[in-house]
Amino acid sequence: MVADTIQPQESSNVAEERRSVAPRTNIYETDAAYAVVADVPGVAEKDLEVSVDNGVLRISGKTATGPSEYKVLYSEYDEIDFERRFEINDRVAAEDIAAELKDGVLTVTLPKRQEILARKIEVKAD
Amino acid sequence: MVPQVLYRTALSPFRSRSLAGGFRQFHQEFDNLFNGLARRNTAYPALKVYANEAEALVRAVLPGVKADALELKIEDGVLSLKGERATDPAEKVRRRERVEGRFSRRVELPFEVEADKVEATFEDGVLTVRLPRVVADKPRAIQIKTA
Repeated sequence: MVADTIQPQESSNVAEERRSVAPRTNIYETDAAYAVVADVPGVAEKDLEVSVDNGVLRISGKTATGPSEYKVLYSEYDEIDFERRFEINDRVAAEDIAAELKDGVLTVTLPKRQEILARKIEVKAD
Repeated sequence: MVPQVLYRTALSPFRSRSLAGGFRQFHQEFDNLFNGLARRNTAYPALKVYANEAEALVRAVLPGVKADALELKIEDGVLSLKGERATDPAEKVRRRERVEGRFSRRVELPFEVEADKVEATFEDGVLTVRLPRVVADKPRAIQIKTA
């Protein structure tokens, strides 16, 4: 299963005052894999990091800074950093995890280990 | 002049919560229940309006939304943005936090714009609408003629 880990409180970079926010994430499950789908708008591929270490999937990224030479007249969001961690257990084949970033959405596919997938057991009758 | 944005509630970005197991579960369930009944209580998509002497920029945060799912209109000095966000249907949804469904936002523009020169681009899930200011409207220094 994929579950949120307890996370440290938001980190603040004193120099830049950017907050760290957990991206909104959907988690799906199919027979063959789990999919972790996170909204990371404004993050270019070079500023996104996805890593797996010791049973923890970590997603982090920085959003691009806003356009210069404009005054902000109205704002409902900030330029922020994304960070979130998920605990993954033995059911996931960690070595086969794949990630794709498209239109500000990160999809991480976590295939389930082959050996634990249910198999039909043939019943031989005499 | 600060533009009026209708549905003026601020979007609070999703923050990580350090809640232990059982309580987190409850909170998650409560969120799902609420979202099912009464659309979100925060404005979607989140918007930002920038301006300088030459143009205004309106940005909307719309990760995963395709350009053809959006409708942009300018009428009477108001930019309206409508669309629908579908998230992938899947066999089993273990967690659902991403906003989905129809949305509609309106922004009053800070000055008159050249409607046929308006451009919209999408990058990394952020929509940017560039609205050039009407030339006659631009601030300009007024020469003082002395006799």
